[in-house]
Amino acid sequence: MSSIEERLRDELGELASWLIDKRAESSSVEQVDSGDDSMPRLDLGADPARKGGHRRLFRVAAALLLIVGAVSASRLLSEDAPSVVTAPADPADPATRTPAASVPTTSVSPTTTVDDPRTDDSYTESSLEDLAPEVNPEVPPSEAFDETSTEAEKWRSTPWLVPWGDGFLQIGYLNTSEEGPTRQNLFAQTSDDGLDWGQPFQLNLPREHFGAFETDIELQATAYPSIIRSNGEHLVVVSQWPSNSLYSEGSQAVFHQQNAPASAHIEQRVFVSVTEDLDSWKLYEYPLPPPDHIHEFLGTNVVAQDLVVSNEGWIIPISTLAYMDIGLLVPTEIQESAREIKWIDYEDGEYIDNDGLLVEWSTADANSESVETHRRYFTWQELGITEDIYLGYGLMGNRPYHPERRYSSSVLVGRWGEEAIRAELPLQGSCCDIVATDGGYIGILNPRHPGHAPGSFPGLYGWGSMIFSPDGLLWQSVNAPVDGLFRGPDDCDILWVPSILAVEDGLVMSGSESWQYRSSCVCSSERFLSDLVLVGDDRGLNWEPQNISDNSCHETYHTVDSAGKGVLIDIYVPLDYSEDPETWDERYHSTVVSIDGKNWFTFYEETDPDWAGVAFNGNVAVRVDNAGNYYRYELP
Amino acid sequence: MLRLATLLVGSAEVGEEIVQDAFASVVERWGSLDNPGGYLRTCVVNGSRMVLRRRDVEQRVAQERPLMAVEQPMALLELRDALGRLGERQRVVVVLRYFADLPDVEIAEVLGCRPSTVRSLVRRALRVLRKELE
Repeated sequence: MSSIEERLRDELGELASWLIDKRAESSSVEQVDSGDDSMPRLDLGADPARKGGHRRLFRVAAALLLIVGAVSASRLLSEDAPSVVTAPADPADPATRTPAASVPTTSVSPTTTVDDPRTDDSYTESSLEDLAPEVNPEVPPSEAFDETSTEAEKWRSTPWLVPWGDGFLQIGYLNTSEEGPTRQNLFAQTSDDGLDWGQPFQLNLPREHFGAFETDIELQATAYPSIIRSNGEHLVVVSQWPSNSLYSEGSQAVFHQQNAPASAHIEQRVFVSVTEDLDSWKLYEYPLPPPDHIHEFLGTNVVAQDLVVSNEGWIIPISTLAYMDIGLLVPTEIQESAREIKWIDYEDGEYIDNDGLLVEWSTADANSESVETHRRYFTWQELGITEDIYLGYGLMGNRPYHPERRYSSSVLVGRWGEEAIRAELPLQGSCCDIVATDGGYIGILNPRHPGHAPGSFPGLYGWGSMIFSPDGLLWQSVNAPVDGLFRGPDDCDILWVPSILAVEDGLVMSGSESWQYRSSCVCSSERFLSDLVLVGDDRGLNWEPQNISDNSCHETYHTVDSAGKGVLIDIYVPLDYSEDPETWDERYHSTVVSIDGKNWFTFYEETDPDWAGVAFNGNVAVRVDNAGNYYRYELP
Repeated sequence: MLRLATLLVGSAEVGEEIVQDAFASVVERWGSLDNPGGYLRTCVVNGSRMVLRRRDVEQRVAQERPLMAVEQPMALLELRDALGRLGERQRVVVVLRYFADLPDVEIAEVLGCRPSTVRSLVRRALRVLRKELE
């Protein structure tokens, strides 16, 4: 640990205590000076006792934040965080081609951060009405792609790269805002070699697919999340509506919609559009009802997690989280009359206990438009909550923690040209990484529930769960390759969150995140890539550690689809804290390594690389950086 | 939480406000939170970030509250000032890592970014702090 780090660890607590003591002494001096205890003082740091009288105000403020938070937070972030990205002129890159109009390019980094856990709860009745699907049978004409527009630059900075035929396909959203709200359309361009690209053209997905999303994107405060995959012959676009967390990483997901009003319970749907020629599309639309075993009184948050495309078809893993929804529990007459229903009150203490809870709801007088607030304590029995439900689903949230019954996992399995079938997975927990192999499909449980750090709840995560299916429909649990699937072998207490990748002869599993970061562990000579790689057969039954002869320090590991060639991508940051910071190379060094340990190529990014911008096809890898520069790599 | 917020915004007064707001938000949804502690911490960090974005407010408060008869240890003042020169996200990651002792994965969840982004922010923050403090 460097001296500066030691000082921070030693003195930050001291600084906090000093600032608080200083604040207390300062307040004390002022009170003495005032000589008048009856006069309230303008004091931003209000006395906690006095603050208690303003709890209602805080609740109102919190509610307002619920409504406006998503939009404002996103705007704040997007306005605050523009970044100028200049294309790296790295001689190590074997080939570089840059569009003439975009070097150097000023681009706004894609913002996926939602900085307030309250913001995802922003569904209101009115906003849902605004978001209602509008199915328009008319396919709009393709919009022109203005190469010089700012939106075009943004398009280049947030692309997907996938293999297409013998070449590559780049796809991205283009915002349009002519005469109305800002809308998004998918534009694409193709290339045979990954360097010379054709003119971008609009992908005219079935209107119904994006009809659900045809609304002002600023209302949703984010780009429509979609998952796009290709096996080179089929391009698949998956979206979910209402716009749920397709990528449910981060702390937001666990809070998502859990306080949404009853009116927000629109059934989740997933849209799957498939094309073989980028022109004609086949649309599949599937509702995502919660599984039968979820109690009818519970709300559910259903999330399409991922999309797996194989030679046979596609698979979408789906996770369902059950949560208590007071709007569904209270008597019908309250549901029908209430404008808002809350199920807690904290005014005078905690009103949730083993016997029941206090419910507050508001009704509006149709004539005067005045709002009246009602409160009533309901027993669990009145609400239809038995002890079994109460405990089994963990309705208290924090006790018992994360009961497994709250989660369920399933898959939508579609063969090319056929309707999909939904199948349940024998997994307890948030679903899961699935890969297609020659032998079938392998899934590994995501060991981290969204929003919850595994280190804080080690018992929750346990050891690895792995499942196998020969056809995607019938699944069975299989043994994890090692007992410590999720725990690294060194003494740095690394939690090994695995990623799994199908290769030519089977599977590769590698650790992708280190749980506990400590400087002393970053460049430990004990921690080599070989410690964190296992190679297994195509049914996930037999695994062996892979000895990759790379004795350098690695910070994190990441596997990406590599057209079955078995590639590990390693984010390599050889930073030595003992050196002068002026000499630090802070770029992200990403090394693409074959499974036998040979470094294929290394590229550098100023920011965390976006793996969606790397695609493999045969023996060629193509990458696009944040500035829209293209790089081609010939693999051995 | 008060110490965390105080470090993030550099003011115990504003920190109190942030923490109380955070508690109010937690209370609003207590029953539906799976991890109230984590939610509270995220609210505190987010509240602090909002304050940091409105640095003029922070500076105004600091000007309105001159130190009165309180000894000012130079090392701590130096540290406080150095923290104040960090960007908002850099400051958050430094405090969460070196004060709250959170692993990068948890910091990433609070900030809604990847752990590697956290590490990048830390490196840049350490560079600034080293210049300021050494």
